[in-house]
Amino acid sequence: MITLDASHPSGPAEQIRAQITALIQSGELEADDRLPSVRQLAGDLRIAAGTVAKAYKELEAAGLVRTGRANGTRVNPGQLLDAPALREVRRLVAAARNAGMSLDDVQGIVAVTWNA
Amino acid sequence: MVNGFALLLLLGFSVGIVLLVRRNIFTQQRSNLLSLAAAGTIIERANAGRVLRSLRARTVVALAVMALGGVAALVLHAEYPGAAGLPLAAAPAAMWVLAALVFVAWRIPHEFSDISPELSLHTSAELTPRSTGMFGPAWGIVMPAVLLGASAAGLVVAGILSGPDERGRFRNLPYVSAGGAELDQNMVVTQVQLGAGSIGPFPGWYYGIPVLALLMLGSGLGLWALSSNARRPRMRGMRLRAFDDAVRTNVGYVVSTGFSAMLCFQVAPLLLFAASALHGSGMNAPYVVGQVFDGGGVPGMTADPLLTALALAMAVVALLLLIVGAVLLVRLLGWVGATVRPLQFPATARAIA
Repeated sequence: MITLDASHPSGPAEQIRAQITALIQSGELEADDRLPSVRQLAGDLRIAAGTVAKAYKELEAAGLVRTGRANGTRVNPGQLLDAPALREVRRLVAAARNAGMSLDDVQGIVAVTWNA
Repeated sequence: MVNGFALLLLLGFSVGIVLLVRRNIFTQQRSNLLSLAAAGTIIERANAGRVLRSLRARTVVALAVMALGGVAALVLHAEYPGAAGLPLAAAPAAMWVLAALVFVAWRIPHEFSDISPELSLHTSAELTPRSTGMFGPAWGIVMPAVLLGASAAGLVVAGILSGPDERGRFRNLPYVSAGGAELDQNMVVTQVQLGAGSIGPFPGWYYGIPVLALLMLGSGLGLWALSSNARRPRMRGMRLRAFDDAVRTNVGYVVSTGFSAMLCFQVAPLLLFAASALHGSGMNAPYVVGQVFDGGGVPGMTADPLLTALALAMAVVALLLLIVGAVLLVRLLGWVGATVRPLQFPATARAIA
């Protein structure tokens, strides 16, 4: 599931790219999983098909997905993030939820820590 | 040999149809659209109500258009008796084409002007590709495809076997029968005479080409309707996801069941025509060379046992298809009925929202 936020500073194509990248690297989307067609995703998200096509093109350029004429867009194998790092992220999310922190709070803390 | 093979084919077809009906068609379960719609907020429920009303109106209009098509076929049949029953023979396929046009042209709404502020800022989408076969019965594509393939093959074979009637229309079955005898002066049969004739109505090219064209058009429109059902964007809001799926499933069942029923009703009378013509073409007078004919009476006509068995098998399959068609029609009305309940949500749900 991906969600677009109209008030988010980055545009819809970037939001789609970032969320699908995260889903692939976290293993939520597995190798050879098929992504919805550009038209389906664009219709469901109420955006132009070109915006979704742009996001898919960027994912393809990054080597995360491949597009075949008959097969649609599928996830490439070997894109899972290093497992220990993923475990740490999941642990952080669980701890933040237990502490009652919001996603924005956690993202802010991560950004500060990242830049420190 | 060929007739025996056809007999086995008909038997296999009948067993397949009976198994399919027993295992799949009687065991359909319908979701309660109203209770699924009640899962949303007040605005979402109002929008779900609009979807339900549109779904209901569309299906009712499609059925009404189908019924009007049937009436038009009856009127045409009465007005043009020279057409030799062509309007009636092609009526089920034509009725389905009309209904499928309604399904294709009338789009179920998915976007509404009044949405909650939260939903106007955030839109969500699942990453599971939706396909034509995802919504509706598992047999929704297979059964119509098999029936369509069998009908097309049967009509082509019947067309090849058919011959012209007195006006040159290929709606008769030509045959050769041993219907006479040459006698010598002692009234002994010296030669059995073969006579050529033709019997109709038979589903030759005259009926087959229009019916095939309508069936192809109807199946194309049906697939288009199923495809647009899968492609239609989802309604906004996670709470209505199950409702949205149930609406698609309802459409999938209505389209697949409707087309399958009409296919059954289309094939059954043609099979009965063919069975009757086949049985008639196998009638022979049992003269035997050397037989003494005392002139006391003409020997009665006897039927060719294999052709009679084949005709009987075809008649049984036709009756079976009529029963399956009727069962499917009842199921179809059940799916329509699922959208016809009054759109009043439980008071508790309203209070919670």
